[in-house]
Amino acid sequence: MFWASILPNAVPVEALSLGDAASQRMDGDAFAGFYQRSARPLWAYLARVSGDQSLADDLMQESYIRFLCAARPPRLEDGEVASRRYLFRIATNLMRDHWRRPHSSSIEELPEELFATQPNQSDSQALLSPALRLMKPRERQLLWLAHAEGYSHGEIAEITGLASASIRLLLFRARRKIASHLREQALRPTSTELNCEVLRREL
Amino acid sequence: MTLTACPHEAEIRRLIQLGAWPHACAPELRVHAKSCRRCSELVLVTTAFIEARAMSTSAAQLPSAGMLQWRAQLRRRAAAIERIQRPFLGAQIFGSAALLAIAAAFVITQASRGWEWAQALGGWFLALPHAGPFHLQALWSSTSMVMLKPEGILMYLAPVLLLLVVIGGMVAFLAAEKH
Repeated sequence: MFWASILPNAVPVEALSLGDAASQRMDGDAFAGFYQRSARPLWAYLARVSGDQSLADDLMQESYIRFLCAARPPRLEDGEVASRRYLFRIATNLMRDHWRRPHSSSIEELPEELFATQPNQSDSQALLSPALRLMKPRERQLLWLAHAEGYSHGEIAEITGLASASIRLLLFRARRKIASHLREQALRPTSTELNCEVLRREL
Repeated sequence: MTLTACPHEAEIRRLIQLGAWPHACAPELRVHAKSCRRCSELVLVTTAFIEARAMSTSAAQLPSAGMLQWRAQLRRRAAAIERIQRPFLGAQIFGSAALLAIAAAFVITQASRGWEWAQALGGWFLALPHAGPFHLQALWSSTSMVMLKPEGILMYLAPVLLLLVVIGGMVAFLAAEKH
């Protein structure tokens, strides 16, 4: 080989791409199984926190690619829970980087249609989407990880990079805030109720 | 703001996540959840989020796992190639720096000889009115006397050889890279 004659210690590309990190990586079948179990929850997290489904598609794919390319991925013996946590951490960092980029739109500038209520949504969903829109991105992340994914404070700290002690307070405040928004939304008359009221008055 | 947790929170959370809330739980726990602010907030928020999660997971359009593995493999390969090429970039920088140093040394050494050259050329121009039509032979002899001294030959040969070595190395590297 040409490089070997110039540099005796040169390592071929194939060997580099399947180095030490690769020995700890999942094989094709293991990854396919892990992907089937973890992709939908990850997409739901990204879509709900960002409020943008196409962004969620992009970030989800990038998260898995980075997961597969990671220099020090979670060891197989750590189990799927550790791998899933690691994946959510990558996704959280990607979302944060996206919001930090000057050219990208901030979550506060996203159009309201992204959070608009869909016609086939249930009552609680019709309330949750507008309430989520009123929360800060960090609060949405914390709430989703705690209440939708069921992660503990320690696990959320590991995923978000925040201190475990501050998670408790941040989560407490966020939960109180979204609960009050949900109650306010529930008390407001829906568009159907308003139409009925208008018709009743006209008659 | 008090952060005191309610002792029933963990159990209520577990029941909601298991899908056992509110029908498959103790009636006293339901009564408690209505009266306790923290537990009522927990029920309200957690049920809404779990429903949202179920709805969103069913709406996801996922690419195949094989496609992601292929893209990851391409990226790993590109990163490996970049790692291999990094030392050669250093060699290229070193080669360019050496070339510049040689050129600078050449200019500095020749600057001292410039006066001799100028004098020789000046003499040639002054002799032009008295010379015949083919006065170029005189120009060659006057300037070559300066150039053909032994230290003068070495002065030209060394940079030229070094230049050839550096350029040859670069050509070999570029040819290998293309290969």
